[in-house]
Amino acid sequence: MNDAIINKALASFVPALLLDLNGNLLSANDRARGLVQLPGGNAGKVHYDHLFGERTGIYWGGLLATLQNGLKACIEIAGPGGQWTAWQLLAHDEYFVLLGQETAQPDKLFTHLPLGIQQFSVEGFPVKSNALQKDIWGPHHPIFIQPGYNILRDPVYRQIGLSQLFDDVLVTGRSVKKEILLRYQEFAVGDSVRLSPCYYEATVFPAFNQQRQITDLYLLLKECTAQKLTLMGLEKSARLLDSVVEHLPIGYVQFDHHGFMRRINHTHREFLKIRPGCHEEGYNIMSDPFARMYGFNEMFMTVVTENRMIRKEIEVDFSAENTYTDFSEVRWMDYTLFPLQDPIDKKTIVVALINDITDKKLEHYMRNELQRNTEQLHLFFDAVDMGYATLERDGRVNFMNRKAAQMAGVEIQPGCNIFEVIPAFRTPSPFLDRLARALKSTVSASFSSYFYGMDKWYDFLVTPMRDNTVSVFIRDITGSRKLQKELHRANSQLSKLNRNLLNQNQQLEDFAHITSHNLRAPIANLKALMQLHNHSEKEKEREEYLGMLESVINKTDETLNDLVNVVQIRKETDIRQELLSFETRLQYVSNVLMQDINQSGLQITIDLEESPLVRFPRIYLDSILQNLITNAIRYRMPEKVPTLHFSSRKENGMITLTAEDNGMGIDMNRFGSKLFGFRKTFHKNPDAKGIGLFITKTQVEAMGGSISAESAPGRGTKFIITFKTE
Amino acid sequence: MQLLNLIFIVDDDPIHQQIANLMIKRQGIGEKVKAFSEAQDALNYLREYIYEPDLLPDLILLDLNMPVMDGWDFLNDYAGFYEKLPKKIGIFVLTSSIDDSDRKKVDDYAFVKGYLTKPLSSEIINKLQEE
Repeated sequence: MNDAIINKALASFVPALLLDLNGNLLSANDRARGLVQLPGGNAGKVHYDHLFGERTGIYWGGLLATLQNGLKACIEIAGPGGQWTAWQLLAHDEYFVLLGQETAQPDKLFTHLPLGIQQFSVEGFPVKSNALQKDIWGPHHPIFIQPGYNILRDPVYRQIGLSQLFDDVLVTGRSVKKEILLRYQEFAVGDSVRLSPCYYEATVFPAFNQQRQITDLYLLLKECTAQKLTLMGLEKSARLLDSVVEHLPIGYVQFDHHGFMRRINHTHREFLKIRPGCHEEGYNIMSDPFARMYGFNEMFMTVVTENRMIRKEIEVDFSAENTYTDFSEVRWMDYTLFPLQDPIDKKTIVVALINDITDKKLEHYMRNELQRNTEQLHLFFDAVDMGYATLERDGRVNFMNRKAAQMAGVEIQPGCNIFEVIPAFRTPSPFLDRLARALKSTVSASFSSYFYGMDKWYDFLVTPMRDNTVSVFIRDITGSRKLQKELHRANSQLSKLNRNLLNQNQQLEDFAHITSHNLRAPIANLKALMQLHNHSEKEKEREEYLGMLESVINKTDETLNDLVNVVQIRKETDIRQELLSFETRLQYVSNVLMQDINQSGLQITIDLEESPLVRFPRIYLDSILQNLITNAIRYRMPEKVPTLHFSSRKENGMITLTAEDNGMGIDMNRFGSKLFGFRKTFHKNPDAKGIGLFITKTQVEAMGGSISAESAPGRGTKFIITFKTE
Repeated sequence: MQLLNLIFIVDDDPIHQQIANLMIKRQGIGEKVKAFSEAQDALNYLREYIYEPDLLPDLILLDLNMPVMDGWDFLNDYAGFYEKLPKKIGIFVLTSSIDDSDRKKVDDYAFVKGYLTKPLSSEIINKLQEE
């Protein structure tokens, strides 16, 4: 733009002002003078700020900056007649030009403003308002129906603070703005009427005259209910959130991105028992020694730099922290740190959620311990050489150690029922009844049983437990049982041996006795006769001695033969035995002795039905029967018909044979002990050689039996022979 | 040295009786020898002549092992009446038994003067006289 334009402009009707680089007015054309209400002359002393800045709030510096930024630098002010002029700043070398252009009609603007506007006098009386404002007031507003209405004295508006805005403007001369709950709106919901608040942004600004005096007051009202309600809602949410955070059941601590603690909630404050009056606002997680001790600074850094959440369980000894709290316990804490963005400055903040998990840890620990104990116990039970199982009372298995499973012979899983899975337990038996009873019982029971399939003896101890389960201990006593049996067998063998030894010892003693008496006697005679013979000089005497010698030798030979017989019997204990009939053998022996029996007239009777058979060596039984018959004949009463009665019985698993005669009998008191002795005779009977009963006794005893006699002189004799049965 | 008037031999062995008789005679310690095969007969004799000391023996040679009544029976019976006898009779047990238990058992009978074992010999016969 050049001077020509300027001049032309200035000269023309276009209102124009010429300013220097500092905003001082250099000149103005008449039209412009009128519009900006410039006093005549002295134009050089007027500055833009005085003419425009103070009226519009847009001062020289601000307008100039707009222009220099390449934007259109415009201001609008109202002229003295109320008409608006838009002024555009243009640069021209070392000058600036403000060109004015009248814009719309002020009334029109007033009317069509998208806000409510009401003009008041400085005293507070209403002047005029636009249509929108009339709507806001409503047709029944006192402003329309109450003569002399004054907004400064409206009690309602004073209460809600609207009137005060006018006071403020009158005092300060500046516009003021405030949100006001102006009124309530009624709306019908069904049959009822509800009220909803209507918020307005109220702006009161003054209008000045040329003397800088306030001429009018303007009230602008713009409804902002929606925004206000939204904001209030937000505030409410924020407050709620705040309250929630404060009373969360876990600790909440918030740090700024430098690590300074910005917030700590009530819960955590209570937990830590934070000392009142400590300067917690100075707490920094990066520098606090206690925090560094547990590595919270590193956690914080990780959260900030890697922008991710971190969660850690840490056992914290709070006694190491003395600055902020007296709390001094050791606790297991669960720390969760996560980053958040500050909604305002968009910087990262860090939130820590803190939970005391000591009880949980303890519980966990206890559970682990319990688990470990149980496992150890089970390991232990696996190690012992004894079956162990815990069962429910119905037989379901809770636990069974390895040994018990081995004993059962099948794999048994917990939950199985022993009465179903163990093959030996499927068929009913007295043992099973016993076991089932013991499982139901409230007292311990101990019993043992033999299992044929396994050839095992097991000893059971069944003990009810307090938790209504049952502990079963099983011991394999097969070894000890067998040992016991073997011991028993060895014992009986030993005692049999002992008996045999005693028997043999007795026999040896008998033999010593026999040799002493029955063999030494003839030898002594031989010696004596030899002496007599040697000392004799008479041939006749010597022949006599030799004759006697011969008789002694014959007798000795006889004795020796008897003894050899006896020794033979004793030696041959394993002589062949056979099942013999008493009656048959008796028949046979009777035939052999037929002549003697007939001569003596012996009457033999029998009663052998009850036990007709015996297992015995045949020649022994024949010899025994022969001796008994011979005795009955030899020692019969001369004046009586001799009788002999045989009978056999079974008694206590033994077979007894009795032979009862009616002979002379013997005095048992005198001779009882010698009755069965070698070469013992008790009668003056020349046939008595004292060998028969000795042989009989030897034969009976060699086969494990025994013989005894009942007798009295003149009353007959009863021999009782007991045969051993296998 | 005193000559024994009457000597009893109580023994069931006839050979022994003969031998004893011969030895006593030959040794000349006694005039008369009477042998009993059964002890009971000897006891009966003693009882029968209990009041006739001249007929009672001075010495009895008693065998232990005899049928029916043995030497022990004899001693037990004799113990019941020997104190009533008008003269003291020397009793010697003369047996083939060398069993110690027999020897000890004989010690229980105070009136038995000795325990002699067969065979008889001149030495034993001489001993009888010394006692």
